[in-house]
Amino acid sequence: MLPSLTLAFTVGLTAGSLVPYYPLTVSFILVLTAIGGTILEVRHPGTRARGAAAFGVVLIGILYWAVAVERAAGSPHVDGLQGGPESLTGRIVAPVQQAPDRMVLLVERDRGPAGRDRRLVVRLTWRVPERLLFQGDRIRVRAKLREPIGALNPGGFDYAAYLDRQGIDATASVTGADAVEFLESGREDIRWALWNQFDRWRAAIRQAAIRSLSQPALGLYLGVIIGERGYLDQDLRDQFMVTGTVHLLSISGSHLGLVAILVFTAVRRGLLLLPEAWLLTLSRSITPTRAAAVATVLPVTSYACLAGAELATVRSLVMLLIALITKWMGQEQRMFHALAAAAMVILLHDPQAIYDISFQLSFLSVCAIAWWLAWPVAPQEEAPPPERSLMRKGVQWGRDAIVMSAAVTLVTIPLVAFYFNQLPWLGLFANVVAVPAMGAVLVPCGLVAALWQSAAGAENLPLAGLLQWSLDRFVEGLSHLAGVPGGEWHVAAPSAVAMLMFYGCLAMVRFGSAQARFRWPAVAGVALLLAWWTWSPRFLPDGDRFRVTFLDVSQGDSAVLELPDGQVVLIDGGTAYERFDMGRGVVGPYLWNRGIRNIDHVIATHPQLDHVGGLAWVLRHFAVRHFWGTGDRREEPFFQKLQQALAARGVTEERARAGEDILSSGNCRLQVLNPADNPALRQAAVGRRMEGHALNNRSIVTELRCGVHGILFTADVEQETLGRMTQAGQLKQVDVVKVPHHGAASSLQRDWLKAVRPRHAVISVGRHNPYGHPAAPVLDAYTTQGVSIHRTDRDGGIWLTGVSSEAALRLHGTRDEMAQKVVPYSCWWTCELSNWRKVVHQWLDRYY
Amino acid sequence: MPHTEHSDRLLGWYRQAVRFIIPADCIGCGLPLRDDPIPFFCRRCWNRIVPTTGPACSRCDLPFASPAATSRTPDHQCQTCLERPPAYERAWTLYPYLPPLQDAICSFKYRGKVALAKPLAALMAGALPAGLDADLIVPVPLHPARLRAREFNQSLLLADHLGRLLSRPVSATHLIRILATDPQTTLTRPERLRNLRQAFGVRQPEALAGRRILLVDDVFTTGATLNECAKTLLKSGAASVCALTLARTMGTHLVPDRLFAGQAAGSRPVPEV
Ligand SMILES: [Zn+2]
Ligand SMILES: [Zn+2]
Repeated sequence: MLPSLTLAFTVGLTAGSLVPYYPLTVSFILVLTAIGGTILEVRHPGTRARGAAAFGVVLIGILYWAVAVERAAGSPHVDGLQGGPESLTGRIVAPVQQAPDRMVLLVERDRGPAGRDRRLVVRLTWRVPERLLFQGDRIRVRAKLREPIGALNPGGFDYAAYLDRQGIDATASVTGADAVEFLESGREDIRWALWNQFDRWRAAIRQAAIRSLSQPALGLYLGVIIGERGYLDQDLRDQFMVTGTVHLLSISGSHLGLVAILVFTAVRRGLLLLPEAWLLTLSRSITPTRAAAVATVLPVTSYACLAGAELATVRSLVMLLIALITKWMGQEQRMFHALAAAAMVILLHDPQAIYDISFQLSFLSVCAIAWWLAWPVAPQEEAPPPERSLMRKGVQWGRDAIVMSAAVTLVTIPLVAFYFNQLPWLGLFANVVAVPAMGAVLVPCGLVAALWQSAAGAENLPLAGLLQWSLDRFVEGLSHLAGVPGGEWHVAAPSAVAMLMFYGCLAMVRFGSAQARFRWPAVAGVALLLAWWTWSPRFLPDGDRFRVTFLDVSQGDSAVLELPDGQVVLIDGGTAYERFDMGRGVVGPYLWNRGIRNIDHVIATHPQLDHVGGLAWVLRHFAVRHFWGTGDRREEPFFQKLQQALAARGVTEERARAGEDILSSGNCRLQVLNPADNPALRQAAVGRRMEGHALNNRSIVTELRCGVHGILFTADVEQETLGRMTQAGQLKQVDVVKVPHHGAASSLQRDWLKAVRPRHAVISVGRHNPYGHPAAPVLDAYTTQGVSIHRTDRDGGIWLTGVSSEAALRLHGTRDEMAQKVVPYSCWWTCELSNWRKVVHQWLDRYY
Repeated sequence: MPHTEHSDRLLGWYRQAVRFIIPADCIGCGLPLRDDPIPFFCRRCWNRIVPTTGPACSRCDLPFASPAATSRTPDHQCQTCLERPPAYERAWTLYPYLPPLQDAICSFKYRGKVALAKPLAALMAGALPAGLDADLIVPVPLHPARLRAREFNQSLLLADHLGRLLSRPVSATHLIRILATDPQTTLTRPERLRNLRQAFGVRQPEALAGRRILLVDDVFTTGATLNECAKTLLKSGAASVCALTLARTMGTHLVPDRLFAGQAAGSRPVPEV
């Protein structure tokens, strides 16, 4: 009963989240279900109570979403977020996330004396912090509060919405020693003292690990023992992803289960070793098994708290606690009921968890395990294992492990493909080795070391040598495996409809056993969908249609050109910081979603971080045929990374020169307009400031001509070069221009603008950038020319589609293509219809 | 706690709530439990457990197949008791060892379902004979090795609950098992007897001197264990020894038809233990 009701509740929450966008459709389906259910009940009277209960719970789910999510979000966002720096006093309400040279704090602003102010949670990044802070501490900080923003691209991950779901109202960042003022320790407050202590323990373990271990073992250790991923190397995380073992990085069933089994066994065995008289006396009030179950509660709960009580951790904790209660009662373990109860606990606390990646992955994996294992699970002590040789036992164990690993991989494939554009088929084999290695060696050793450190308060981590060695071997094995040719297989994100079909087929395979005639078509359906996703073909090339996408890479440039003959050109790849690489975060996923795995031409317009930072990653993960550059060199690490990536892939940089074609096929031609070989400009490179201008002015300008259409990509050129191009008289009228240099005032040239007479201008710019891009005079100049302006900071990624033989050119912005909440009463029908149109358009767009 | 109707209903809701999250099926009939007060058994199955009635041996409580045996002589004894009188003064073997009681005892003993101790002891208390008179309750002991394997002595748990219900002291330490014997169920009768000789001993016999002892065990099979215990206790100075067991194994010819019918209705094969 509980599992089906939990499923109904989840369906209800999902429906509740759709109500604001599709109220009429949801109501219609509900009414239809009610009528259908009634008819069914009349025919099969036995189903009445269950059907009615399930339907009722669906309705409760819808209501619960409306009350818990929509009403809470209904109050308007904080005003004045765009203002200057303001003083913020508040308490750290979540475990402090540490990374080298930074910490991320979730600060809840103190409410007014009467508690009138609205709750405000700020995600505060403190760069180069000078002291440790812990959960529960009160701090004061002067910072500019910003509404959460993130790159917004077609089919991309919506970071702003993600932060919103976490209950974060604003973000801020400060740098340096004096930036954060410490007011009061969380120890002083009884409500926070415990959490504060857990955070201190975590910090002590972290400090000891930092002193004793070196990267990448350090990051892996902190990730798998205390659930802190700030120190984890990005490439190592990618390798976990590729090998399908990324679940090992969250503290969940394997970790808590291990702790539980160890404590339970130790306590039970220990009690059974007591002298007979003591054991007899003890057993009169509590049996050793019951005592062990009670004794296990505290260590497991403590470990879950120490690991930061993330979703997957809480899920495992609830399931374990239920398992322990079941043990106490002497009943049979019911994995599904425990899973459902855990889901209910989490969803009642936060209904938005249904859209959380880790919630979905964690519950689906455990579902898969529970389904494929015998259910209900028999208690282990019972069924005495039949006499078997060690060899046969090993074979049996290996087979079970592979089957289970396969079940989990299969069930999670659509989600992993959806969120990470990957098919981690290596997980089938990797997990069979990695899970036992992690569970039997790394986690126990790591836990013992951490426990020892905490108990003794040691400076260094005990067993550091052993840990370093075994973690290094693990990382080595992982990177070997990740390097298997074809191991890294990227795919387009599956559509929601296809995912539903996949799970429907799986359910039919599992439960349709009574009717074999349903079973085989279901198996075929699963196989077909898998094959389709694996293939992830491209649809565009038909000899006539083309598509140009200006990606939202925050402050920076990146444009993808898909040409009628199937060629792909990437102009710039956005910026790359230590923790956020636009190549990995935006460009790569976009290309995969388009079914693109090979790029014919990559153009690095000029060697500046906001243009080529993301290209190094792109070069390492896509097959690139030609790489075009200006020949300018830089000393900075980002440029070295780019050179290394080029060298590693055996690609040599080709110099782009004005007048040359980068490609010319059919109706389309991509021509270089800049840099012209101008010795005067090359000499101008004097001083650092000048160097920047010179680099900008030498950047590669290209013009795409497809039939009657013209699109101009002007990179970062400034007035000087714009003037030169205008005087050279080679400019033709274009449809779309990428505004030079993110709309900087130094790149405003009215003569040039008159010469190219664009209809649309695209400004690739980041919100709240420190340079003040785009400048007001620039916007003015374009507007007075009658050019319609599109900005990536407001519209998200912008794409245009056209047919080379027709005059029509269509321009879309990501934000415009997102469903909007229906305005009650004034536009029921039209709004909902427009939302449906957007859904259909989004779906069709994949095939255009 | 006063057993009012109100608190009963509250407890019923509580049990139903717990079983909503951690469901359990009746061991007797396999149907899911709801607000049933006994753990692991539904009301219907539990109510099918009824005491043995009818004529029986006045010494060892062995039921007689024909009622004629005791019609004229109420203290008629069975052939075995007449030929080799047991050491105990009187044994009461309250219930026939048949499903669902058999399932309950097996689950309790072999599968660690200690929550059944209390309702099983209540069954015993509910069928106590009128002539019972004792001032000390002694459970049949378990060998330490067996105790470590099973984690508890089922007779002791029953005795503890019974002691509380009858307000009599329970001695867990005076009667001890010296020899580990093979599980009684796998042996033939002569083997058992040989096996049991010298299996028990008494610690601090002065505590037992002059006491009227009630021996408690879960199942009466041949009576050999109880007999041996009684012998040991009497040797140590106990004034008298009576025995009380929850159940008694018996041949099918001795089972009243009524119970047979009930067993058939239960329609569930006896689980292998
Ligand atoms: Zn029953
Ligand atoms: Zn007799």
